[in-house]
Amino acid sequence: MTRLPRLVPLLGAAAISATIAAACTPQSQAAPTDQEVSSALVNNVVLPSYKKLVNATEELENALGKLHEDPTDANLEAARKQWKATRKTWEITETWAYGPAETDDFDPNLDDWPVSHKELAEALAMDDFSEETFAKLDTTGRGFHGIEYVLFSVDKASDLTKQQLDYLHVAVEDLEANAKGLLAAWSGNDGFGKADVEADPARTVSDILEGMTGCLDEVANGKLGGALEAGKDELESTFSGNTGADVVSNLTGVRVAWQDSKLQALVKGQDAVLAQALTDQLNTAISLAEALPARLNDKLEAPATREQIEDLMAAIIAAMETTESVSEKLG
Amino acid sequence: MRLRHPTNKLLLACLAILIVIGLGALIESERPVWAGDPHRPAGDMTVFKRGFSTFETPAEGLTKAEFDRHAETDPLFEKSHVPLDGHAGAGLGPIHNAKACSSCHVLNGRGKPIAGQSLFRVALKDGGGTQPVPDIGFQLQDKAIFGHSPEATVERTWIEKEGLRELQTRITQPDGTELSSQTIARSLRIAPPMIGMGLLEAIPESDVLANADPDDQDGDGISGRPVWTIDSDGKRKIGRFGWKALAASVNQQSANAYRDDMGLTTATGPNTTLTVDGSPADISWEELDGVTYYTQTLGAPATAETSDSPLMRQGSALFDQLQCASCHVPSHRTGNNPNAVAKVINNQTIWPYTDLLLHDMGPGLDDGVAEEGLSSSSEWRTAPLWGIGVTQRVNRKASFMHDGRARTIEEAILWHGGEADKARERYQALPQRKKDQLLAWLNQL
Repeated sequence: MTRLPRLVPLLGAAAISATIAAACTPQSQAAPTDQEVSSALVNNVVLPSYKKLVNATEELENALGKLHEDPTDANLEAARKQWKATRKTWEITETWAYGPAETDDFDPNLDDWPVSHKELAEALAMDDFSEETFAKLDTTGRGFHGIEYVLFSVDKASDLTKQQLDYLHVAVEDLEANAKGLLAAWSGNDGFGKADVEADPARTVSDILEGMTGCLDEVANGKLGGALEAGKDELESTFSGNTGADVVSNLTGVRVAWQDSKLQALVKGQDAVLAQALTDQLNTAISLAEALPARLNDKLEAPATREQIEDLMAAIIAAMETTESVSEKLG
Repeated sequence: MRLRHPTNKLLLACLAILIVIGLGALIESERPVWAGDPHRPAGDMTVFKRGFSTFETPAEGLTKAEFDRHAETDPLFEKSHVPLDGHAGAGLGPIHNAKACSSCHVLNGRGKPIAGQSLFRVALKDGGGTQPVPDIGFQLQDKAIFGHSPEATVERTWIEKEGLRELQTRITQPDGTELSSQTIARSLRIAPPMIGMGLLEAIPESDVLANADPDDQDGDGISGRPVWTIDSDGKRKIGRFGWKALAASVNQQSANAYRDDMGLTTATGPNTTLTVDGSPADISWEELDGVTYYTQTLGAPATAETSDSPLMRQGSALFDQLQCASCHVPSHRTGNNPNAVAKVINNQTIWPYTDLLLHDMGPGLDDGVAEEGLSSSSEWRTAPLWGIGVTQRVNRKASFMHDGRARTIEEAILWHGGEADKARERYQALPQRKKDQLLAWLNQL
């Protein structure tokens, strides 16, 4: 676990000044009900996010299709750019990964980690790479990181083998199918959104808070803490150098769940100071994450970078502790 | 008041008898059947939370150092294993059922009876299910790493029958040969929840044996048989974990799961990197010990109702009256082990609702696999019930019994047979209001 209280007094002061301002602001709107929070989570947060994910995977499929047909450096660069854009739409959903993403195995199919280098190398060494070959790969050879491993493995497009291009073509179709499956699992009257979440609004608030806590913990102690202890190979998205962007997306997702589900407004109705403190801490954490150097994995050993990461971890942990306070407050 | 008429005296006497009987019945139906605080099933390790992450929440009562170690070892449970370079067969597989503990124990809860979250145990029907299937063994590995073939693939079909469902399977080997259901028994197993295992491990063996009655000498129709097994430390102990109680300790259960479910061998001790047969281990002792520690320091959720609530009183009384509690023994006390991995495991009154013993559950649950003769094919360890009400909160389509055939807790009750025949019949004879009470009580565990 972490032991990084260096920035905490600073964060505390910022939170206090902001909360004083918040406490002085008149509350003009009634706090939303559990049902409103529940509906907002499903219809304003989750479904739009998975629709964006599906659209992005379709665009990635187009980009990789172009690369497959015409493996130029420009098409390689476009595909890499689209991979990062698609990745952003997925990482933002981490907070609401509970439900079908976790229980129906969409998460490992889309985002298993680490990559099984040995199996991928063997599969890509076959004379032909077909859908049958792909079917023999487990989730550690598929998903975002399988595609990333191949797409970012070469210096130039002409270095990509036919097997690698074929792999990318099949793998992105699988990625898209899983994104669509996840959206479908939340959609419709029998979907998780309506049949489970909206049908039992009393549970939604605690679910969101548990999801926020889980995501903050995963980022601080898993992704960042693990990398500080074990080195850059532990960093997810290390091949593309996208780890910092992943972290920003994760934290942004926490803020989206907090604000766009109307949970923030609900908490504000009970404790405006606490609500504002959490908002401020999330904003601080996101700002610190945005300030991380690009290609974080390559700069992990630099003292200044490590200090930045430690500060970010402290900020995330402060937000996590406040989220837990909110949970206790709401009972 | 003076009673002037003998009839009045008679009436008073009758009234007194009725009061005594009535009060007795009242006390019988609402007595605190078991002393203590069932609202806190894991004692000081109880987790006060009933959401989707409940089973993943570290136990209460850990010291700072214990909590930190729990957090450090948590990723081991979620770690996706992959094939590695090094010794032959290093890393995952080559054949396996899952690549991570969390693949089947979804969010630390029950898995669903689907491929990827469950597995099949198999045995030859000849010999009463005690003999392994040639070239397969006792467990069917339905996955393989790239370049290898799984032992077989399984087609699962659920057949509806009088409101319940039963599984039919078609097991096909890579060469297209189908394993005959006439000669080969198959037993689907879902992963149980990972809660309170450090506490179950800490119940003194003598207390477990005190509930055993293998020859039913008291004539109540309930036996309860301990499984004796050799633990990973080489000592003979009572089996406590798994659907058939084959593992005596969390360490052994973890090592078995690495070996059988993931194709990962484990080191035999802290000072060696070798397995029991002298080959290099895939999983170091440190890692095995870590995942064991993580498991031992998970608690169990508080019940939704407090101990003094009417539902808690009525439900637990019904549970007792139906004699469910004869096997699902409600409460135990953990021992005092100076070497316990966390101090809070010691001296706890816990409410797991199990006796950790095997019981004959009748032909309906007899799927023909007798686990190397350590159990008969119709015998199952009494499943702990703590946290059962949170099952579908964690994994919404998770189901019950060893193979997930029961979609609801009531279906699970209706599948009880053998030694539990009478308890099931008593349940079926209850008026709907009482059934609802019992189910509501179970759902708040």
